[in-house]
Amino acid sequence: MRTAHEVFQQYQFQKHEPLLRGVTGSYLFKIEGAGYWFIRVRDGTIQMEETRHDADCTIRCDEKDFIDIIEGRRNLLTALMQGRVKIDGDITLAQKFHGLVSARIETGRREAA
Amino acid sequence: MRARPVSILEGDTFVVSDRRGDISISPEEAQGLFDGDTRYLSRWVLTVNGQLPNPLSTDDVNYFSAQFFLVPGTGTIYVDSPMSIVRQRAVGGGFHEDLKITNHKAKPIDLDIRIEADADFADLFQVKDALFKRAGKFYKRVDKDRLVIGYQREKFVRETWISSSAPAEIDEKGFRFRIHLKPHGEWSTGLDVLAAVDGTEGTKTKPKYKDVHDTPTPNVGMSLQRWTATAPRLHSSWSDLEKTYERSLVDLAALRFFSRYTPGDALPAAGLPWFMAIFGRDSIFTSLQALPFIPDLTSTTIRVLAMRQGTRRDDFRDEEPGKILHEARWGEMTAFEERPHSPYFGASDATPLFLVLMDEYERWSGKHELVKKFEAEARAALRWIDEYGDRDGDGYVEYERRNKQTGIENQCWKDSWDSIAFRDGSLASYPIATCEIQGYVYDAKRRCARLAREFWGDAELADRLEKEAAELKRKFNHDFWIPEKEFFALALDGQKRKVDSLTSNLGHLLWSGIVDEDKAAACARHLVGPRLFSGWGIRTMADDEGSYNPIGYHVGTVWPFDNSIVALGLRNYGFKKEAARVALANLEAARYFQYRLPEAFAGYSRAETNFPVEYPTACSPQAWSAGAPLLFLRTLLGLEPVGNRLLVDPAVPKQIEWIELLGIPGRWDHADAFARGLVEL
Repeated sequence: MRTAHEVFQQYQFQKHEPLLRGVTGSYLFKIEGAGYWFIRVRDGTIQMEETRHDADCTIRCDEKDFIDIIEGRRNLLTALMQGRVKIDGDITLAQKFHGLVSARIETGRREAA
Repeated sequence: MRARPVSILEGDTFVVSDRRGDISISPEEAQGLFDGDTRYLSRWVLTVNGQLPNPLSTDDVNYFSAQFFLVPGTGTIYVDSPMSIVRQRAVGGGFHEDLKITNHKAKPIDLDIRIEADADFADLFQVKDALFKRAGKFYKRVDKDRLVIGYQREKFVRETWISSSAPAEIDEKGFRFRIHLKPHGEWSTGLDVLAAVDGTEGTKTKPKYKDVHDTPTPNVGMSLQRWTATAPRLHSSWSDLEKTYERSLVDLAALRFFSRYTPGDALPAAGLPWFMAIFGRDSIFTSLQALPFIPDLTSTTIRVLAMRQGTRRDDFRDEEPGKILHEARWGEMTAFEERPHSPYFGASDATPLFLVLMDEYERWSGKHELVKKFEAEARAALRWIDEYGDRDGDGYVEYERRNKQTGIENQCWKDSWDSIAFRDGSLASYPIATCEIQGYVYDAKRRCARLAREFWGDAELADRLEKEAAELKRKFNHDFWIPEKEFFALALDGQKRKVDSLTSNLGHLLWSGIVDEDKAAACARHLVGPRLFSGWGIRTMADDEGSYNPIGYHVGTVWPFDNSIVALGLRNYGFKKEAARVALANLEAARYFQYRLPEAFAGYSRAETNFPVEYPTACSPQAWSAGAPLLFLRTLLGLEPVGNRLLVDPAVPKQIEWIELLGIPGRWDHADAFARGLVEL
């Protein structure tokens, strides 16, 4: 299993995410036992820091659930309903994150096929 | 006949009780306090000196509040009651209830008042389908001055917090008040029942109303008064029409709710009690019906559905990239993926209908920002039609659920398992291409061609879509038409056989415009002929078909929403008299339902029953039934945007002397329509 650190490192060098075009806002990921990651999105341009800042949307969960969500084994929304994930702030931004994860999984599925 | 329950709601929080104001589990009624598809109270029973009071009168004052006037039980012979008991309740974040007891006698009285409370935290699916197996644990505790009833499954926690403003003895069964009332004295308490998601206060620390007389402040945008004042004003010689119109506006206001996916935007939920949720198809049809009256509903529907458009193939949820969702739920079974509604995408018509709505919104409102903003989503929806909707490349959108366990079998508006049947009653095989979905696709492509040309700057796409629509129309009129019966097949089944039952779906084809001119008259004849037309409306299925059942959900009942689409379809092909007949029959039926058209009513002939017979489990109010009178009005008045003007071309039956509709909003700002009843039926 990958770690949260490894997942975020992948984004460290990515400056633009086409799937977030039109999205502006900031996220704080609080991954229990792993750390904090702050991501600012400006119309698809990404800036990431491994630090804690106030954000428009805060997503909190444990590391295993986070990796399961990122890798498609767990659905963000059902994890939220189950109480595994807590979201504070702008849920629309959380939806965009969900859409991004889903689209990446779909791309992976298509490539594998 | 059992007494009608009392329902009050705000968003997806609602209370269904009996006429005393009590809540108890019963096989007949889904009673309880519900929030986010979970029942937070399954028992709420008031007794006075060990007896259930009797209801004198009950009033659901507003859609979010009710009051119950009670007296102590006096057996079968009424004697003047020594006291009155009044319960006043307002829903929002749970509910607040004021309980007041007045002693009418010159002597003091001692009373033992109990309120029993319990919660089963059932998912609405469990309530609806009578499923009782639960995986979590229940608990109760008294925390100082409040009773906490809870349910926990892993990290999923739901709690109900109940407290009283007057001193009470609290135990795990509820509240007890021992009171001494002086002569002509009065006692009261306020009871707060809070739906505490995750066992935390979250944003809710108390129910929304601390007093039922608080000034109502809806969570869903404008107040009821402003909502009704903003809508066009209707006057008519027929007062039943005015009452039905007013009821519809109030019900549409009541059914507005905040989607948990996109808080801040209110859109219509489908219906109380089973469908207080986003339904793609229902929200789209309701928005289409209400567009000339309450255009704001439409923009919200487009935004919310675009936001949760499918992004990947997920067989459990029947999700595919570009597909518009069918239904979103928040209860335990959805959370633990025992049901796929997070959200579920099992509807094949919602995607083309979404595109139809986008265009219709621009045509009426003149606001093109929305169609520009959601261009990418519209293109994704068009791609879904061709790449996923048409599964076998035959040019038709067909469906077959990928989720074989809990997915919906029929992914069209007639979504019960037995709705797509041949004349002999045998069921169609999958995948199924129902006729009306092909009509919606045809309409969607034509409309998107206009959007592409005028707003997306893509003439090439516009040309392609027009060509595809024309080809679909040509092919459809050949492949679905049954010449010997002179109507269109309900569907093509998995073996490409024509499903040959006569159904109301013909009217949706007229509405979509896919029907060749030379076939339209036969369709109209069937729709208002005795096999389909009951006298109160058009049945979903003709009364001589093998599967026909006058009280079968989609195989014989009359659906006002369906009729409203059919009437506009008839009108669009020039059958004004037939459209007026369908509209009038449905509007006449409304009187028998206290001016609130239900989801569906029985398909018995009018000559046989003299009144429309209720369908047993119909939702009421139901959004697209509340929207139906609005669309009937549009059809009767012949309202149509032409450029920047509103065309008024009435065809009103003589039974209605005159209709006046003032302040119709649109790209013309506001316009008025007046019509005299001149059509002889």
